[in-house]
Amino acid sequence: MGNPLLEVENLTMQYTIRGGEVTAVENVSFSVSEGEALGIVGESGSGKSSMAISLMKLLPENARILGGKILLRGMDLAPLSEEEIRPYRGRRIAMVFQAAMNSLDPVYRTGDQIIEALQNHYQDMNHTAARARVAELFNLVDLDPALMDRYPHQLSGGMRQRAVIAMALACNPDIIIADEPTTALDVIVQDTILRKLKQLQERDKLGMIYISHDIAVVCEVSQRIAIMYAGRIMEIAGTKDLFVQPRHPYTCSLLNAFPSIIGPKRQLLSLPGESPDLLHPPSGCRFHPRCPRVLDLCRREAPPDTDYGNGHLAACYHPMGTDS
Amino acid sequence: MIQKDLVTVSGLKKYFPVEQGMFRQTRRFIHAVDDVTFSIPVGESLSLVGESGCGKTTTGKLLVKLHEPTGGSMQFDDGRESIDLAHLKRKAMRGFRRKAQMIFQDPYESLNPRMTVFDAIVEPLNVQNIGNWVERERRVAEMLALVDLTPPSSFLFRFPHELSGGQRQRVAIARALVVNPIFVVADEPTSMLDVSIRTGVMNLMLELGDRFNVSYLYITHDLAVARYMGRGLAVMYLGKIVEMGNTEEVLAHGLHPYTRAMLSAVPVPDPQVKRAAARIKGGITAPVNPPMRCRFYDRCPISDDYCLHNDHPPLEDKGAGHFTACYKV
Repeated sequence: MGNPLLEVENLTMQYTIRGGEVTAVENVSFSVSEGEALGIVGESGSGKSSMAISLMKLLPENARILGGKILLRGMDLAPLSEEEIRPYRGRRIAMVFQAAMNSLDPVYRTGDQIIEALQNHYQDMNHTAARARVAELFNLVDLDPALMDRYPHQLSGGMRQRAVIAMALACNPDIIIADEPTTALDVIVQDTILRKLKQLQERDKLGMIYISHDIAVVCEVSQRIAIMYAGRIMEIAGTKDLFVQPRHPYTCSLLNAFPSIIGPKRQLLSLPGESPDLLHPPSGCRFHPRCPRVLDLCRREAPPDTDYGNGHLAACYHPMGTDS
Repeated sequence: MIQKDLVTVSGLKKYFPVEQGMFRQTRRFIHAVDDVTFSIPVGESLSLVGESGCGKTTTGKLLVKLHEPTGGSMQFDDGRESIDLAHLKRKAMRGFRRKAQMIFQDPYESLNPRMTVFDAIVEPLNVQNIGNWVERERRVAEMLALVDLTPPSSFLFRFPHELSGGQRQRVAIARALVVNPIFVVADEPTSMLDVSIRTGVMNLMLELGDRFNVSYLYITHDLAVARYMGRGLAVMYLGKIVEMGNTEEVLAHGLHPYTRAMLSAVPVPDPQVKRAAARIKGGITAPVNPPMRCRFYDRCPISDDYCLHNDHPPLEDKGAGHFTACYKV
């Protein structure tokens, strides 16, 4: 594994909404090395997307970073102002959004949107050079360069997602954050996009944070996986370790709830209850109201991380594999 | 014992006109469902899978008469009476609705935001004129308990916006099952739910299906979900069923190149498994006046001249009820 590229330490992010404050990301720490892909799995409301926009500092007005560090090659992005972050955002750390979700402006030609991004970062790049770069990027993601003069609605969902990936790669970033990039796509298109993304990431030794609700997708693209629940990382481990020996009961329930087309057909186990309301989060461990292995202690205090070796951490007082 | 078929569909077609030109002429048609044949035995469920735009939702809506078919026959036989669905009279519709219901994908849209949970679930009973008020109230409470919204009294007078996605879908299930139907078309009922919630809803549907002998036509884009929900599996592509059979058999020995491509494209939640890349070209197109050849021809990795010059291949039994529509297998 290469040098640490991105180190996140105790990141906490909060929204102010009517009715109070919602801590969407709480005390989250992890790191991504050069050429490493970290998967982040979580359900809706787990804070995975809030974490992504915190890293990019694309915060809406009612959100702020309360504390923690976002170290990109040792340089802390967290305290930077909007002006100061600009040379980094898009250039060093780029984001692949879900193409279905308004990440392409419908009134501009697809290629022009990438040209705009390029010229923002490279002031001396002329239009011809920028177009050539876009054509090169389109080729990279297996899109016909002729499509750069089309409007987003003239492209299929898969093509739009490829264009969004091309845009993220435009300035040769060190790390890309992909937030559910294949969620709205059909399975065969999803597969080709995942393979392309993975191939480009490995070729350029990029760091990648791949965010998804789908543990199967994350399993295939990442070397390590972090499981988020209610704003916290419950467990983080190498992909194999996580699947072979999950420690956190929540990880276990996710794995048990996921159907597969491989192997014998098995009964899936559902998890009782609902995701917590973060305006009034549960005391102690956020997962305790739904946890099958809950102890008295879990209700009172949030468990600290336990180290199981090899970078395998889990925040649980009563982890799997210990007797009841 | 001879197994009777609850639903028998033969040569079912649904074409939607595409309007164009200044006089809105309709010379072209989208062949959303084109010559589809299948049957669902009593008490069994069939999963219908395919990409978006393949016609799976249209097929489901045809079966509960939310669309009028362009052609073909649909027979519904619950053992007591046999109903010719393709020519069902409006008057007979109410009786049929007691036997067949539909659950929609998006519970945020399928429930009226101005109706309480009680209103939503009691409505089918009012329409069908089942029981008196006291009985209806009791029945609604019973349904809420069945779908695990307990205690029922705390849910009865809530509005949809006061419920979570999973709870809403449970209300939709209660509403569909309140009239004791024997057949339910479920159109991606769990695709908008989180994993931990989704499994609960799927297990609930399976359990209630078993208990009340309900057959589902379970429509989904997710092969893993299809496997979990149906003993039978039909794979649809551009208005045609290209493969059909026992779910485990189709998954283990998929024959049609499209099925095989889909199978190899599904991500596997197991780090030990490395999948081979799907051998398939391009993306899905809309079946507007499709040419007289295999619908899959343009994307097929094994197509040849024979496929180009002949009509779409018929669905043939390749042994033990495993059907596929391909000249090359």
